[in-house]
Amino acid sequence: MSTVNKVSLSIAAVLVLLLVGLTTAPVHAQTPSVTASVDRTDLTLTDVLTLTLRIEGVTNVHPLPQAPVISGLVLVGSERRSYQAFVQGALSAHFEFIFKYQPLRAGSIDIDPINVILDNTVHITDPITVNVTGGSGATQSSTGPPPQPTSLVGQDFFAESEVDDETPYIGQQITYTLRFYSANAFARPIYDAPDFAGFWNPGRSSEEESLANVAGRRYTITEANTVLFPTLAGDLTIEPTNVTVRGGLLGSSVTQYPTRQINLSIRPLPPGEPDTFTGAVGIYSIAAEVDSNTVDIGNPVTLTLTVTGEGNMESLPAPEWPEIPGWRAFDNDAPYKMSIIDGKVQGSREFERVLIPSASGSHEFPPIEYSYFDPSDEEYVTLTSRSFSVEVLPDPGSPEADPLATSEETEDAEAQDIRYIKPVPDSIARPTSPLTASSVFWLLWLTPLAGILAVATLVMYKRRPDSISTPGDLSAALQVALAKLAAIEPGSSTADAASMALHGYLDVRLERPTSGMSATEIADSLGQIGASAATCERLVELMGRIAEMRFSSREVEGSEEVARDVQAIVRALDEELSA
Amino acid sequence: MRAVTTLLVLTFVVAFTLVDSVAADDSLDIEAFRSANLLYESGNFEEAARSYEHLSRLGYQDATLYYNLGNSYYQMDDKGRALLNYLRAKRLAPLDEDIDANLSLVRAGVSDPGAAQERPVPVLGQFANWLPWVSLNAATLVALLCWLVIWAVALTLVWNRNVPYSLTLRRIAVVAGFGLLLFGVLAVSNQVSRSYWTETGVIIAQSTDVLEAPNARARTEINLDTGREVSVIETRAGWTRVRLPRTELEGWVLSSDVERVLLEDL
Repeated sequence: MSTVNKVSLSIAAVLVLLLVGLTTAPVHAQTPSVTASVDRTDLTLTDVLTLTLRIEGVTNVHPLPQAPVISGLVLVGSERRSYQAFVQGALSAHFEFIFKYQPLRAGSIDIDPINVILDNTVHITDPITVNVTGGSGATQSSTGPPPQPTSLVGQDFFAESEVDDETPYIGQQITYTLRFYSANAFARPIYDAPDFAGFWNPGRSSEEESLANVAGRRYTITEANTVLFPTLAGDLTIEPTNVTVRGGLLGSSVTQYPTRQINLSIRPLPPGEPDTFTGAVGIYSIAAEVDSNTVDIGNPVTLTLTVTGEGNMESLPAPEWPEIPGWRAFDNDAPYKMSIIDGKVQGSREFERVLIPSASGSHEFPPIEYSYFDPSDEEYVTLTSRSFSVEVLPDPGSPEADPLATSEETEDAEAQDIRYIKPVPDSIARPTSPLTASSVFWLLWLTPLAGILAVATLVMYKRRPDSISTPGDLSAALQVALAKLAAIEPGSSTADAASMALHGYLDVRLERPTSGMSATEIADSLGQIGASAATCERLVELMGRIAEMRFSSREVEGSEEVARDVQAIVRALDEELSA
Repeated sequence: MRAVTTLLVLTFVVAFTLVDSVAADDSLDIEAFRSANLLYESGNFEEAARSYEHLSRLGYQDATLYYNLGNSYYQMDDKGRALLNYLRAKRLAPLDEDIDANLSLVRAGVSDPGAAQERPVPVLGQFANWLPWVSLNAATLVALLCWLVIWAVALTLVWNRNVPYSLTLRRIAVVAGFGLLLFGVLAVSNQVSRSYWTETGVIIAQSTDVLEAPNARARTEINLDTGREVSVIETRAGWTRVRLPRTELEGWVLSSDVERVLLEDL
């Protein structure tokens, strides 16, 4: 192995060891802990409360904690952070689930304990109380932006950014647009998106290129649009964005063109929200349905409310479900679909509630009300679904299943007793363990394979050539030849048997088939490996006699003599060639 | 040839009778059974149940034993254990009308009307119910014998095409082929049925909470009364995860509150 190969192999081995060491590093055997905290306990109606759920001591959180529904607060945003690090060779991790809430009313607001399931164990946080006052609180301040070029006056490159609404409502969709002007058709700008702190960002919606004449020059204009939803009320800032252009030989020089900083004033939702408002902002429509209008008692009915429209589907809150007496309710996950069409986030979300009746009869599901704030009309809208009638059938086995049954029959049914015990059987069954659990049982299924092998071996043995097929085993060849000669029965074909015995021996001795060779050729070959000329002559003469016998009537008469001669020739050859 | 056929038939009969179950040869246990019946007939249901349970713990799995035990619990107003033992009896004797009658009665009498939801038996597992006297062991053993016969005939014919009675041997192989198919299906059906009964559980506590997680502090999803039939999904550290039949509702209950119809270690 060359030195280069050895070095490469060593590096690869070290890398593999490192990788294995990293991936198999033990996880800190910490006890999982869950804590909830808020960034402030006193706030005003315009403030945003940040509730942080911190989970430590686990490497994975499943299922993910959902934002708790808090009376008096509306969810305006959420984010998730995870921290992982190797400490002394072990993996340490913690997770933070951050929920942003806007107060809906003044006064004391209780945040109930939050249940988090980790490794099938429920962890409960401590309750928290916050006080909301009606005044205006401190708002986030922003530092002044650096001076930026404000217009395009003929530069080679220029970047600008804007939003379509600088005073949106919290939760209202806005569009952030970055435009980059390039007078150099070969320049390829690289756009570093800002982090959009305080916004929920479902991704860049579009990116287009166009040509235009501006300030007397022809520019390629690259325009990138990003959809944003403010999650905090108050003043927010979108930091300047840098557009990088590489120039020079092989892109060795880099020039950055910053945009201006954008300041927004996010308005809180106006007062006067309806009781059924849970925080949805956008424009929606609803449709409700049940999967069945007839159900057996104890079986579930699924009530589905589908909310469709424009808005932030990911954080679209569930409706305030109406209470339905006599039904047990279980909420399912609420899957959603979302896409950006014509610069607007659109989609739908299905809220499912599984309901199980505990009494038969006709039941009425009341309409479901769903409220949202429409930022374009600046008003709250309440939608109402239709109501449903569900017929619950009694259990077929219960007396109420047959409404025509008379009270007498019902009494008979109630009075009905079980059938009597059975007499003692002649023997009591005691089961044996399943045969399928025994390896012997399964081995027996394979025994035909052993049979196939045995038969194949026997068939091969039966069909094996009469000659000895083991080259070099001269002693065996001699023994077989002699045995064949000794076994010649009176009246049988002595010539054939003698020929087979002779050729059988010669095949092994010359290590090739001899049946197709003439007697002279065989004698020459034997002479070459050390047989005497006299023996070779005797062999030629004997083979001639055998051939003559096979086609004449003298066979029977000379059979014993030929057998003796073959025996003598074989012995002579064996002695000469072995020596 | 006739001797060979007779030998084959005898082998199959032995397979049916010997591998299925071992009958109790201990006359003391038979006598204990008889005493339990007498206790029941005299109205001492609690003692009768205790005697039947004792026989059950000795390893006996007998439809009559479970049926009588179910009756004892029914008379003690323990609907959960009554249902459990009727189900155990039904597993062993699915065509028994007495078991069906008492099972229906107990199911109709549980306090929650929705509790009468039995678990649907898989279609493949229902074949075994049609021929209940063919146990899993009998079916698998006969299928194995058929398999061996087919191969023995095939190898014999390969070894010597001119073997005497070759036509008869071929006929035997065809019959064994049908036997392999029939008893193979029965064996699979028995295995499916066995899994079904292993996964079937009954709430034997008077009432139990189904929790979201195996933790006493977890939220209660639903409350189940005694006699509720459930699917048993897993058991972990004193908690058993169950699912309600015909719904996707599942949760954790205390393992002592639920019992499987067929214990895996049996």
